[in-house]
Amino acid sequence: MSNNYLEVTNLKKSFGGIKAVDIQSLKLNKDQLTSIIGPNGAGKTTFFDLISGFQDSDNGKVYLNDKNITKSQPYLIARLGMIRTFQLTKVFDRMTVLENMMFSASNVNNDSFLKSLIKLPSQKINEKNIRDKSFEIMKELNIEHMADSYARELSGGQKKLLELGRSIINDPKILLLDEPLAGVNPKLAEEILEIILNLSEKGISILMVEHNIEAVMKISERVIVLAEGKVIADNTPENVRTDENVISAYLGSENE
Amino acid sequence: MIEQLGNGLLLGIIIAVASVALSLLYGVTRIVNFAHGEIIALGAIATLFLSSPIDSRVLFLDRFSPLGNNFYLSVLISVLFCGLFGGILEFFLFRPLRKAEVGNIAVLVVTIGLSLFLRHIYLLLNAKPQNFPLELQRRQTYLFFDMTPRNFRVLILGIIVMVLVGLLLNYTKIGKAMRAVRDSNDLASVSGINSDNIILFTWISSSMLAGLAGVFQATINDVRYNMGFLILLLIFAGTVLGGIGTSFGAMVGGFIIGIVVNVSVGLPFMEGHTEAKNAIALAIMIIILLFRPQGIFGEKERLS
Repeated sequence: MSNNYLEVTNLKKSFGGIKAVDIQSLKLNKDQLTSIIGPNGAGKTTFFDLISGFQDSDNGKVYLNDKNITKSQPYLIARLGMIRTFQLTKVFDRMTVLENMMFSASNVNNDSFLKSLIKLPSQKINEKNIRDKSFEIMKELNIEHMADSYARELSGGQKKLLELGRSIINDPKILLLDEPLAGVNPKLAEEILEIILNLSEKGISILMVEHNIEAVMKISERVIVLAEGKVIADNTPENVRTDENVISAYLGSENE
Repeated sequence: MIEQLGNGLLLGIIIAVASVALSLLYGVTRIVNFAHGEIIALGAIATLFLSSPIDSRVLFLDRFSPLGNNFYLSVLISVLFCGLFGGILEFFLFRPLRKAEVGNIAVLVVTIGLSLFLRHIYLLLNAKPQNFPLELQRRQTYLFFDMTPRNFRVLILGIIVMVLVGLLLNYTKIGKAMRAVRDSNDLASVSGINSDNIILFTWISSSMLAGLAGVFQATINDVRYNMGFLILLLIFAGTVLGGIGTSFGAMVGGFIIGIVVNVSVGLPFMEGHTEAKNAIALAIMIIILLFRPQGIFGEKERLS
């Protein structure tokens, strides 16, 4: 087995005349906490959409642990253990926080219609385990006291925490985090970074898109810079910081 | 007024079942289905066709009688047929539209077109109102209202069906998955839910409920090609009144609308103007929405 969890070749996606994503080749390493940065419109979220099945690429291949997942459906990719979050935080609004957690845990490998109608004793035990695990994670994330609140009642930051909790309850192999710090106050941002580092240490491969450059530089082992859909730098944080291409890409976009 | 209460309860349960069906579909798919009325009519028409004696039928279908005209079996088959029909609509029409990312308004217009199309097919099949082949029954007193035993059974069956829908949504995995897709299709996908299957199931169950509502409606009145269209406005009113997208709200809203429509017939100033009974129900809906814009059971979201 190679040490790459995700491999992308010749991945292309255009909207009209604009090339949103145009990546020749990219391999992501299992033990490296990797971040993608880039100016607005660089194609970061589109790249996430392409590898998580939310958009179909025009061209190219995506491999997840050597399995071809090009143009696979999002739910199938999720079942393979690659779980993503969204830039605009999504939660199940009309479920409680606990229901959000338990729902995300219970369905992945077991959604046959008959089983859904009849609860066998073994499922009851299973349900109790899931409940315990949900509480464990909520405790770690400090949202345990909100367990019975409806998710729509949470603040933006709490929703971010719930989204994280929801994504990890199934023990994913890979987490794709789309701006986990967006709109979060500095103190909570610190906490979330801490959580992400912990997850990485527990062996979950993490790929993160984030605008907060300082945070990215602090926790990432590898930083990929996208601009106009292309990889313009791919290196350690220190080297990316001083890369000419990166500096001009960022300054260029600010001048526009 | 009290003598209208029985009728009100009956219409209430019919509107409630139909409103839950509409609301389920809207909640999960965001489709405002104007063809809902035609699926209601389909339930009644199919039941009429399967249960009627051969010589009372129309057109080229008059030699076909596989069920021996058994009424209850006919109802069952018709309701299942409505489910199949809904599934076919989703599979061959609404799923391709969704994949092509056709907008909500365009889909709404498609459902209006579908409604017109189906209604006129029914009109071609049989234009004149017909009754189910059931014997006449005498009214009896149940608690404080009068109705025929058959209508009483409709009432009880309607209540049972709504309880079952509530249980399905709240306690089964597929019900939870429906609620999940309703809240966020994308999020359901990353939780490993095949939302296409959930939407298909929603179409089937919504259409079965609509078909059953049609059978109820025809049991109390008669079968007409436009019977669903005639009560569609009341169903919309019930759904909105209860709070759009909440199934429990749709049940309660539908029930209120049905009762108000019939009880208002007994109001003094309504004498000789019974055709205006829908107006009272819709006026009440508007007044309640002025005070509670999200509907009775709809809830406001935190916008941060």
